[in-house]
Amino acid sequence: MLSLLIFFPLVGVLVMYLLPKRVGRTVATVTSGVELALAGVMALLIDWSRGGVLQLEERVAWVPTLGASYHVAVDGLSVPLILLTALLTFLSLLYSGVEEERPPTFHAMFLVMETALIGLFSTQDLLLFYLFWEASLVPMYFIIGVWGHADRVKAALKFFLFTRLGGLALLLAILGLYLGVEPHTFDIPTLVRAQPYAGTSTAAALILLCFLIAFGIKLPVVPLHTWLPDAHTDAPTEGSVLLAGVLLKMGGYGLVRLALPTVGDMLAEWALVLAILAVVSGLYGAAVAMAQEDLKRLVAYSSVNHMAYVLLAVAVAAMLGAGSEARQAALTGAMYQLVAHGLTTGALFFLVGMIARRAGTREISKLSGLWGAVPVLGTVLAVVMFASLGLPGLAHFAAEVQIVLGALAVWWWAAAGMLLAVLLTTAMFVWTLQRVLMGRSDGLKGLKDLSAREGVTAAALLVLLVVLGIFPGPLAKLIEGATEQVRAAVLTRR
Amino acid sequence: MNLPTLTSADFFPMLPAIIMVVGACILLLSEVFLSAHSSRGYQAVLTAITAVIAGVVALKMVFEPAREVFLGFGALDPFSSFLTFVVCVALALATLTSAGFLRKRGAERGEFYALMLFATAGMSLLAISNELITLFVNLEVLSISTYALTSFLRRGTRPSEAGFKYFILGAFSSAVLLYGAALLYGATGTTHLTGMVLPLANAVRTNPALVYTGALLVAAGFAFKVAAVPFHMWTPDVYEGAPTPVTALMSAGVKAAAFAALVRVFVTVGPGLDPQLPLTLFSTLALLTMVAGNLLAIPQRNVKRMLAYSSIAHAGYLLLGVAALFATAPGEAFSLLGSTSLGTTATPQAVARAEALRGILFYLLAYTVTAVGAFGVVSVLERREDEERGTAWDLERFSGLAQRRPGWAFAMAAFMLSLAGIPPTVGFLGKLLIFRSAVDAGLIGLTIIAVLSSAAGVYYYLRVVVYMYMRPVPEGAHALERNWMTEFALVVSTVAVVVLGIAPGPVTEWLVQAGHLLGR
Amino acid sequence: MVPISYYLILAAALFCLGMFGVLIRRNALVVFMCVELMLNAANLTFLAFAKQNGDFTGHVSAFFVIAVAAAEASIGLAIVIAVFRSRGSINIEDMRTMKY
Repeated sequence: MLSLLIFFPLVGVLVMYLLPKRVGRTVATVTSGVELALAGVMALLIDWSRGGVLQLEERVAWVPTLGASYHVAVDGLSVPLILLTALLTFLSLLYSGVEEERPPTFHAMFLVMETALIGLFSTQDLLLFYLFWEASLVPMYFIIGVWGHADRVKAALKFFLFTRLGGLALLLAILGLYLGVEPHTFDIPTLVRAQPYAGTSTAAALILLCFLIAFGIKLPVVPLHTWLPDAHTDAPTEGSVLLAGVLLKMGGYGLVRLALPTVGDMLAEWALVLAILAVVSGLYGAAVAMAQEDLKRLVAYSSVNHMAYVLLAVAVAAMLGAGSEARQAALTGAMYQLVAHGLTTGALFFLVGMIARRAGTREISKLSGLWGAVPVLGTVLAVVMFASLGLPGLAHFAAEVQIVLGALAVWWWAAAGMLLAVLLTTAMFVWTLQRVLMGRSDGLKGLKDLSAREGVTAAALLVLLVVLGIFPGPLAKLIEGATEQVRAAVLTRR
Repeated sequence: MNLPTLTSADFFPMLPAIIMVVGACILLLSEVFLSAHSSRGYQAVLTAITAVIAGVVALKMVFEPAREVFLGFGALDPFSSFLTFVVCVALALATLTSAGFLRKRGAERGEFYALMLFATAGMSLLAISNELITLFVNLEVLSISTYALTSFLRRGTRPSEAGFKYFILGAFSSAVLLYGAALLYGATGTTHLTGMVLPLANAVRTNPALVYTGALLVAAGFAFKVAAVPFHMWTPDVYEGAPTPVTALMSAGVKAAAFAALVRVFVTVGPGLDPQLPLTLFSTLALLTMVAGNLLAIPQRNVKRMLAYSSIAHAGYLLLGVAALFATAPGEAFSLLGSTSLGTTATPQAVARAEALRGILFYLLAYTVTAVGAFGVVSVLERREDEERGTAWDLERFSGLAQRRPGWAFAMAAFMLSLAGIPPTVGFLGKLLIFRSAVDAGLIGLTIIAVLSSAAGVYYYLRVVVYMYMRPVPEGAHALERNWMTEFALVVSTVAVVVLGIAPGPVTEWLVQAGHLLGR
Repeated sequence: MVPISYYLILAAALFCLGMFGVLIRRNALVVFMCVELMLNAANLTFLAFAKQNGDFTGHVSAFFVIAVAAAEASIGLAIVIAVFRSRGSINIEDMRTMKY
């Protein structure tokens, strides 16, 4: 089942190249639709009450001489992200063609990336993890570099160099873990059970440093974030959605899946530094976003702010002094935050793309009175922005509250810093809404409101945002099962 | 005087080399009956078939037990057999790309292929040489053939210049190596590598200056052959000026064979030396070569020259693997050949060394399929008219290639990703194996530098991809001629790069053989 | 009888002469001859040690080296001629078609 889920998009790619060019987009969209359905079936097949157990496990020998196997399974950490990936890919492909016609290769890149991402989130083997990690990089590089906006080649190269550096750091960390157990193995559950790097040591510190570089670049954390605004600004809308919606999640997922269970003690040792970094990222992201003139750049910087919560949650979870309840709450919040951020930022990038296509510009100073010109689009934008600033009843609220509460149990100042960041974000979004939605709409008269395709895209995300905001229960419970497991791994060690 | 008795078993390890020499003789003889205008299409095919047969035979021999042959002058072991297989792959692919290349220049001659076969036979024999003079002679067999190949195209100033530089460089390094060998012979009274270990251990105490000068000169000679920094001076010029398929053979085959000989010499006589010496030596060389190779490649706009520097950088990663061979076993005596029984008695050091050897071999194979493929793409894009102006290999030639020849562009992109070590390509697995043994050997700092320098490498590899996919087709771009043999070679290389990157399957099994037996 | 070490010192001196010659001389033919000098220095070393050890390995080696050097010389001279034909000079300084 899982293998089918991982490799089905590649089948779509094959079919796409066998059929004539003009049906390329349709085939790609249908493939990703079926893939979404498959992901749904997967979600129905698993037992939601046992999120901590690896389910739908598949295991085949792959490179036995290296101790690497094709080992895939899902648990509460992976399921939400797999669903998110399938959904956002489908919506991106559905939306593609709204702005301009794309060649089949463009769509093929999305499908290849979908395979890489779903593979990444479901693999239980480090080598395979690394393989999918890097495999997701190449299609995104082409998406930005070939089909991006003005400064695309430079942005793509910057993106590639940064993430490649992170990838190599990841490789070193993986090698360190691999060599830590006898017989050498890449199997994640075995490694977590064996705990080769319990306690603090130089080796553990080096491995953690490598992990932090790799995941910190991806997340991104200040000061490793400089690739992100450029990549987002110059990527095509569909690319930005996937980049912000799913690719950034790889960093958070990696921290929770790999760094915390394997070098958790070392992480606890460094938790204070990480918390400071997280608060700095949060404040920095919010403050810099406020100064942006370009709507897309603004959204990009708000991602830096949102992902800072994830890092803070991981620092809290690793912290020894914290009560385990608070720790687990923070971790659950972090995973929830990943999903919520995927939905809101995905929606925001779609909306910015729609606005830019209509108005011909993304500059905030040139946009005004959007509400009067395109009321539906304006309303959706307002709701999504409110979700993004953490309005109660919408998805981000549940996650961020849990994280801040967790942090409060450890470092009161971190919680205070994050609250300040929330304040800044609120001010930033409200101010932006005011500038973009209100005012005279002379320049934008006669624009068409949402088309059917755009409407479906926006509505799907909007509904999910509201549902996840009001009923966080089932998903949170699934995630909790898994974070319980992570916590147990950290606890049994002492 | 009693003559030694040789049985057919003694000639067995030479079988691939014999096959290639026979193939070369057929080509030379058939050339006699051809006029200047006869069709010579069969020659490349014949050479490729010969190479494939030799490669298959070599692969069969990987499973032969290790033993000394020719009274100890040669060593048949899976390590050398696998290496022969690698150079045969390089030969087959390079030959297929040369057919179109030579035809475009009206220079297709049987001698060219015969020289390629002789050179590869020399590489194969170099890999089994277990005695210093045998090693020297085989090194010269391969070198002299490549000197001739380098200056094979007589028109224009470049080939002769490249040929001359390669000749002086090669002859100089051979002389250095030979003088080192003479000193080692003086210190030990023998030129057999296996027999040298014990006398060497004595000589280190009685006459250390002689031993270390000899060892260092031999190492320096090899460093020239593998183009390690700071012995790389003219290598980029030579690679640029030589006919592209020859460059491919040089960068893959010659380098592989030189590495094989280097590994054999130092692993065999290593126990007689202070283990710190090879470790320090190869670590330093690896460091300089990786960093300098990558940094010098960055400003290159000439793709062929960039690949030349990239080949230097890759020699650096291989040297990292070689250094890892020596890091783990301080003074632990072990024999190269089957004189000690294989079995469960393997020490951790021996296991680690076998892993490192496997890493080196796999990396050589990975680099061979990738680099020969990349040079193949370069060769189909170049035109003789541009060569004198030096623009034949400019990045501009790659502009918009994705629109003109999507297949070629895809192949080149795969090669570039593989050279950069990005999964899922074979180049990644090669780097993984090398880095793994380096970390295992405790060379953490060096591995981190290797990782950083390979991150820098991404920049210049990707630039080619940028030109192919993200630049428009230039005005007045010349037509691209197709050639089925070259394209066949490209398909084979691309498939190998991708498939071996995802499922190395059988190759790792051959490697299990190749690593175990030499190491223990 | 002349001690072995004299031969060795002579060989070392010849080798160094040859090596520096390759590195600093600018005439292709002289450079070529310097390489030959290095090979023969190695030969002399082999013979001196063979004399000292009283075995044949060194003598045999010298013969092999002479044969190889002859093959190398034929190729080398052919290349030097090709260089001269293509540019009318055998000065190494002139060989700078390819830039760093």
